[in-house]
Amino acid sequence: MLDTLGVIIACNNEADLGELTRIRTVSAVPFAGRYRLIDFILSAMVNSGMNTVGVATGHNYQSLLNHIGTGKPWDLARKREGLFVLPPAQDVVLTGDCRVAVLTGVIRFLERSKQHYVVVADSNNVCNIRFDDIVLKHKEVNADITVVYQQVKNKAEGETYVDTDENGSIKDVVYPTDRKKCLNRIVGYYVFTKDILINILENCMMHGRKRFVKDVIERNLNRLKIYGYRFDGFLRTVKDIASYYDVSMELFETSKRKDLFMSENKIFTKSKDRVPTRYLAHASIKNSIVADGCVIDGTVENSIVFRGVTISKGAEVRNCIIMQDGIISRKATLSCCILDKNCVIRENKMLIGQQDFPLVVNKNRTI
Amino acid sequence: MKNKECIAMILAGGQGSRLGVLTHTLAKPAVQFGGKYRIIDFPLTNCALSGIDTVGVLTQYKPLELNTYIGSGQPWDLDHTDGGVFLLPPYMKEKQGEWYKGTANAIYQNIEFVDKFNPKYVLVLSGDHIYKMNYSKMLDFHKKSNADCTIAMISVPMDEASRFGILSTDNTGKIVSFDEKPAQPKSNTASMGIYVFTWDILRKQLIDDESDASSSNDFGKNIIPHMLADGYNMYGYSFEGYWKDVGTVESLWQSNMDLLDDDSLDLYNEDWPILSKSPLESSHFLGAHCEISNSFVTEGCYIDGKVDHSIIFDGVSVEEGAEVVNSILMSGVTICKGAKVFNAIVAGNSVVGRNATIGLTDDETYLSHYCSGGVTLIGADVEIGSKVNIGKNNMVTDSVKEVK
Repeated sequence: MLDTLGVIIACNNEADLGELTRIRTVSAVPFAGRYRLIDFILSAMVNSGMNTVGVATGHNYQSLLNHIGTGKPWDLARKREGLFVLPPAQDVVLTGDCRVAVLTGVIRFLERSKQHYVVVADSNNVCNIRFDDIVLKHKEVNADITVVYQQVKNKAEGETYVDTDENGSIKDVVYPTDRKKCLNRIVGYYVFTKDILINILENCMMHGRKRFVKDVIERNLNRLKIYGYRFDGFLRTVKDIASYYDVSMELFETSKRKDLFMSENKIFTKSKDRVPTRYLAHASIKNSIVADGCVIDGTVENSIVFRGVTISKGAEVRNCIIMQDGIISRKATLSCCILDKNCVIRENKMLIGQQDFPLVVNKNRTI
Repeated sequence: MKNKECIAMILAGGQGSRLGVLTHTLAKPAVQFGGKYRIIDFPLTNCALSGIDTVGVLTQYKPLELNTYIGSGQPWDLDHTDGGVFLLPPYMKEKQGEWYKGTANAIYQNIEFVDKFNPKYVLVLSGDHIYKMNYSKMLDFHKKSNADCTIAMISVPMDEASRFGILSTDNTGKIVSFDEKPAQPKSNTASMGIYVFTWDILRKQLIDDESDASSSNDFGKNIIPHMLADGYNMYGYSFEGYWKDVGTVESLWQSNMDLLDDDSLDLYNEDWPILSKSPLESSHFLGAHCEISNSFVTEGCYIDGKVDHSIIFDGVSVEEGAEVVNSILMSGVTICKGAKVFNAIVAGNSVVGRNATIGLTDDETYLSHYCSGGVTLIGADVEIGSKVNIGKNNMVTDSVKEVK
């Protein structure tokens, strides 16, 4: 896999997590107690044996940079190759589908690199994937582009789907409004033969084309060899608060949690060396995920508790996501809430959201 | 190489034989402690946070696990371009090689290493003590008293005093007497085995000591008494706070339990966190049948049983219906359904089978002189078959077949 370069598109694209992405880019959103969303794709690339990864950022990337640093936790702090952070070349705020704009911004990085293949990946998926099999297939069929998809049960707004023939070659790109029944959802992972990608990007620039799936994939269906690759593992795309909350709650299912975190391919992240979590005499915990450094003396059910959270005696937390260093005081009651980092809920306060509409509390807020 | 003001030498070659099966495959400093640490984390962290960036670790007994763990020293921020952490095993010389004969001989054999950094002072530490200490304060004290040697000292219980080197000082802190492990201790002020030496002076002492064939080449037995007799400037530096030499199975168990009952070690102080190599596991999961109280739990655990007053290391599974009380479960241990584990230390990757019981009865099948105080010890990579009963004060070193 040393012949394959990774480019992670770490801008928001169409994802919008409200308060959670106001202060950070979606790839830096905290997840599952101790991770950030970008950990999944960074780890996947490293686990696939890739040693050169470019992280192409949009704006608002301070929190992301704090997290990835030199790339050390992913073994990407290297003398040769390693991690390359690629901030936007121009001072423009990228909104909507910005993949083409970001990629054209890093075209010189692509040209300069020695690798022949490029994995282009979105940064807001939760999954444990390996690209070596996909790149191998890409080479076997001598493809120009390989598009990773997953089979889903229903079409959804904002998604695109690919229709493949029996050889896996992509025949058509399908949109939710199309009548055609096709449930192969594009997940945002692509393998390109590098020269082809550069060529396409130059064309896009010349003609002012900006839409990734339409202009890079669909427009070239007849001209290039474009194949699909079906990924059957657990994969969820986080694009709004609802999908963030839903995939977090799915982690309580042991099979999904095992698929993500307990395979031989580890998900790496920046370690904070927090002390072990301490459960006190009145703690009552069921069905929850808890990170290190917490002190828990209250009731917690079906919740995700990040590092350094305090839950006091008599507090009740259900169906919640409590991010780093939150403090839930005595007899406070929380249900279906997402608390960003450093929130303080004072004694006897009650915050109730709904399963399909969780209440989001912004960072550093005291209630 | 830049001259360093002070470098540290950590003595990490001891076997810690009183820890029984826990040190069969690794040296005592590599033994796990407190849910996510190893004992060596404490002196290494203290060095890093005290601003000492050059640390020699003297290894001898079964160093493989310790070497692997320390690696480049990065987890303690000790991977410096000029300095850092160095593993120093004994090595072959032109004519012959020899093992480290004693603590002083270990430093003697590495005089060349110390000389490379040309330090003014050398800090000599033990790799097997649990404590938090800012060595820079002790070094300041050493400089201010214009000492040749400064020994850190602490009050210990009188009945334990004969296990230690016992000091007495005058009102300026100057040491007037030193007795190594006296049968009749004069006081309960003990040496912690933490020394600051002015290097020129120590260097000469080490060479003199080596030429004395009757010497056992030990700091406590030889170097310190000799220096005192020769009238060197030696001072005692008082330390207050948690300090423990975890010598036995029972004291290792007890000092882990101490973490749950009081916070005198101050683990939660973010200004002096204990740094360690992270196991890189996901956050722990507590299942629908979990009942947990008064315990430490860390990354990668799956707890669906009952856990009370216990220390749970990374990657441990406690299945539904299992019960763990007053115990230490080290990395990767599995406690199967219905098993009961009381007052025990279960070392890494061992499995306690279904409905097995540990530490509940007076069964003496595996009774061991290593275990005392009702503490039961299960070695690493051991499989305890289902329904097996292991009694109090027992030590199990090999797998035990299930009871049909």
